[in-house]
Amino acid sequence: MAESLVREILVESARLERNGRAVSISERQSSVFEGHFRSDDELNRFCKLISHRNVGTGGVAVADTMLLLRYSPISTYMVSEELKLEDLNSAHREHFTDVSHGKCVLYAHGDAILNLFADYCSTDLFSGKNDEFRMVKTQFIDYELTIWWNSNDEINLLIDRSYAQSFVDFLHFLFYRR
Amino acid sequence: MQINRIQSSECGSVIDRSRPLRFIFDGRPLTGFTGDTVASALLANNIHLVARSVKLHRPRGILSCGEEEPCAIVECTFPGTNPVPNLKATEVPLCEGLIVKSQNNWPSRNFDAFEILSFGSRFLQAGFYYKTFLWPRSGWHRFYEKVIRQFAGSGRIRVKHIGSEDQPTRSDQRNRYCQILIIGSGPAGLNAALTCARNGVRVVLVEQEANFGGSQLWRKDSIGSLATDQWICDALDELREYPCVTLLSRTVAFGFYDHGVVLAYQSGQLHDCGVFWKIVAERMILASGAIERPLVFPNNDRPGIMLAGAVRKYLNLYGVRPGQKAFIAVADEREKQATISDCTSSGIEVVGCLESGQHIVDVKGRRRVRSVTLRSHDNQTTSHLCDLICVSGGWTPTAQLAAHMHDRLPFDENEMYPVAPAQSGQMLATGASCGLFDLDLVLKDSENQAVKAMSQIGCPSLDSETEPLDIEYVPCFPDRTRSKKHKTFVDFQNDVTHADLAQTIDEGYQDIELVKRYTATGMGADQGKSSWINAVHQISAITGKTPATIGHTTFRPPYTPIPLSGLAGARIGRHMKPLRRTPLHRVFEKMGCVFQKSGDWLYSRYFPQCDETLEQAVDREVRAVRENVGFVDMSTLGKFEVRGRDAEEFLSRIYCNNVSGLSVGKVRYGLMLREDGIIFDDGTIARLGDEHFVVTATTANSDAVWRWMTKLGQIQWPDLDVALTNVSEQWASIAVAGPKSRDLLCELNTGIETEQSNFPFASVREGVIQSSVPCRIFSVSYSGELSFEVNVPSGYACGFVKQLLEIGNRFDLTPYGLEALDVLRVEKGHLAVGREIDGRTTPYDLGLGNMVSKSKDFIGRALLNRPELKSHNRLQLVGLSTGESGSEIPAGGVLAKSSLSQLSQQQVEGHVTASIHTSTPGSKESFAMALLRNGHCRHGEELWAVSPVAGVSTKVLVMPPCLYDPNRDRLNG
Repeated sequence: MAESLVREILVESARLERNGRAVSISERQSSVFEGHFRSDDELNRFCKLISHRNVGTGGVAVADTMLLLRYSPISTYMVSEELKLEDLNSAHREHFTDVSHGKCVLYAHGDAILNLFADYCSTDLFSGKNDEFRMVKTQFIDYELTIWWNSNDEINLLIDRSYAQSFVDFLHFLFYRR
Repeated sequence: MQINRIQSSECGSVIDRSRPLRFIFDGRPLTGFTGDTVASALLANNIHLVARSVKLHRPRGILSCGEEEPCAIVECTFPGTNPVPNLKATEVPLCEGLIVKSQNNWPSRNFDAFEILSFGSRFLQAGFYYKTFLWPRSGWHRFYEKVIRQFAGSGRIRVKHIGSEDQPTRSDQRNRYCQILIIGSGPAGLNAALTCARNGVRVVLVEQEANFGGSQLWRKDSIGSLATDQWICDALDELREYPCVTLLSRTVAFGFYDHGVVLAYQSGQLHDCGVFWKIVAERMILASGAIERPLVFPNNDRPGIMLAGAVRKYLNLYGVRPGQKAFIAVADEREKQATISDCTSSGIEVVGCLESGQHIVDVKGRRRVRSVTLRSHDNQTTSHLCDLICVSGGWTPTAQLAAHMHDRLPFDENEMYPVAPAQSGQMLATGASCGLFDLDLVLKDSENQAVKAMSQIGCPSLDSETEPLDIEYVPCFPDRTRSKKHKTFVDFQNDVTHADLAQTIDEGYQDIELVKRYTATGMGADQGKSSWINAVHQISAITGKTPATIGHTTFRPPYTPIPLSGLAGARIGRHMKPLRRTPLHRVFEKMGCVFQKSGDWLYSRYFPQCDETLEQAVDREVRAVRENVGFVDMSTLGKFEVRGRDAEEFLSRIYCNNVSGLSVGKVRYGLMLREDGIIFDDGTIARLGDEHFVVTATTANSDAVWRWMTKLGQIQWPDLDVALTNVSEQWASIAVAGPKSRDLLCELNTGIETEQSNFPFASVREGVIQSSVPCRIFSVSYSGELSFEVNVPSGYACGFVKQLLEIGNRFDLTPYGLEALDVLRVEKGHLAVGREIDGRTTPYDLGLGNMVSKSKDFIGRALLNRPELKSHNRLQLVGLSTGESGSEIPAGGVLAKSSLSQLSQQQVEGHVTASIHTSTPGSKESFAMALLRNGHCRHGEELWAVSPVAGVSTKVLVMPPCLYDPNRDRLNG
């Protein structure tokens, strides 16, 4: 083959401005691994090993270049901009599948962006402590998202690839009609 | 000139006199002020006749000042929007350029030709439609219904303005979560909110009016040393200081549902820009107050007869004087004195009051009250000249919301009206909604209820033990007046009179639910807020039962009408539902692909060249696949990885065919059954390793199959060591099909040995493209040709296809879409979900009985063996051919032994599931797949394919479903 294959950018970066409020959204081409464990104990041990602390369901652990998002008692996402599946310890690799191309990682920031998401997500985004990283797997109107944040002005989200462009279009639409 | 506007700035606290607004009512330009409602502005302009009643076309004015309004129903056209009928003038905020039109009249509201109906009203009694128009029987559909529909209904939907696709409305839907939701912002609601907020509890306070404060905004009471309006101001100031408090005005909570969900609608300034709120709370405190009851007396619907509380509200909040000479008929003595005081201080002359022992026997003035006639207990009659009658029969608690989740509301101690229970489930009630009308008691109770709610949600150090309150009940005004000469209305909106109720009961409809349906009492835009309790009292007087025994009708959401645009929210135009794009979307767009929406997906339908029609393009694409090589996007298929020690066992239980014999590197077609033995889905099972499988599901069933598998893995068989991962989106799938596909595959340089001996049909291989991009290639075929499904990571899919096209130039590589794929699969007799796999067919019906394993257990096995599912008389898959007749087989047609002209329902023997023109060059043959009764034994029989819809009959020959390459020679090329 002539040209080398290059990973496609799915969503163009955009900046939305209205009434003095601005929101930016961009794609981050991160590696995403989806992990399933046989029991919650097994995942507990893995989380502890990776992050040196307990990470409950709905918890986020930051370890080196990697973010661990535990979205169910036995399932987790690992998000990293540097890590590859091969870099994982072989004992743990069997639990994980590379879904980097199946998920689109988006980063949105702007004044009180969390409020915008809170209005449309079917989960209470304000129920936890403000200073901690939090994550939820939730529904944004009709879009399934996994979102994580530790500030009201920044939000990261994981969405199925096929919905990504549609979701960003919808976010534009919502932003300008509020 | 707003001649009824009070000039004193002491009145009119909610209007801004510095910001006048222009609007039009029935073509007449008028002015009002910012903060006015349409009703207050009309009254300010001395307009009292606002609409005509829906049934009798009687002149109607403005009765109330809020959501309970049954009479002043108007059509409003907001700037840039379509006219909206059936709005209550008392609820619509005035805006610049608003066009208001009265309803139910012709040619004008002052001279309505249909008022003639009121003269014949003795014939239009309850149940009129049920008893009349019975003869001749056919007359109903031919004549009566058409005529009646011209008169029936309220308002008309007229579309004048077409919005853009993206912005036909601006309504929104939002969610809010809180610990305690407080409904109503009178003293009870505000006090409860303050109590919660001071303890750091997350509170949402909703108020349906534009201003917080409830009825205390217009009552001139005091709380402690403060006037109530000052107390309200201070309370709001304090609440706004707390970050844990959300205040929502113009927001009506209209439905209470399971799990603490309350739906509310926040009106915008314009009708179509409201917000539909879904509020989830741990506890709700209902402090929604009470609604004033009108009195039932002869001619009680005349314009100028208003609720006493509404008159005070117009005086104090809007600075509008609804009349010059007022007669007061108010049950409660304190309310009466307060009404007199407010009227006189605003310059309205009070000409008299209804005293104990007196009752009203007539009201003169058709379009506006001129006088009222009273009769005392000694039968003396007196008349008073007046243009305003202030009436009040007491207050009915607004407790409907508390009944949405439970059967019936309890009645107060006097059994006169229902009240909200102190607590039912997650909802607590306080204030007038549960029958408390004394302000001191209200404040004490609301604090108690707030503490109780906080204690129930786990707020520490709060004592929820509270002292019981000594409740004083407000007296009701007994309605004793009857008249044979004049109409005494119980339900203004539906023109239901006391006589209608008496007749209904006389005819045997005694239950309140039956009375409602027979007379329409309590229906319509006001949902009977001003009428249903009066109806109960009237029924009580007629039957001698107590109101509590009669009870109330079922209260269902919505409590008040909600605009349909609010229910849609942002789901409009192209945002109606999410759209899914395949990884190849962009490259296909550049190639001029015509897309087609199906489910959530945007599919590639066909790839026209120059001026090709759909048929020409599909013919070309099919021919390319049959003769050279083509490629199609199969990325929408579900793809699931199954790993673990028990992966094989897991799949063996799910699929009805054997999985255990599948060796690494091989692929097998699999059938998944439902528990009832019917086919659920089909797909492929590929073994990548001893404990590693990849299975596919059809696009349509992808989500359902994934949910089914995860449920089985996590709930049914947690003992199995299986990990499931949905990789449907991770891998783009491109099927390269045609006799030259293997040659093309060779050129891809994937590191996979592609010769037939090393890579036969039904195999899977993993390779690497350009030394870095992993790929999986499955030699499977849906088209009936030699075919390879190349899976690459989705992010590389567009780049891969570009390079594939470059390499494929030499082989005349042609992209094809779903239309061509359908032709190819039908010729081959392959199945499709929704067509042949239609939720009713078994493997035996589709000729796949030999796939069903007899040596293992699997989901659906037990019920598949029911004799009925093995009966020969079932619909079975067959092929249909027209030969070279050139006729079309109608898609969706039915199969019968006779043509359309002789067809009867009993002769239908099956139906066509898919129909195509065959791809053989020069052939005129049409071919179809069909489900035919006992079809497997009927090959060679001639039948008719009939479409009664299209009016087409085609003679067909029944044959096996596989038309193309029945010996599978091409698959192994």
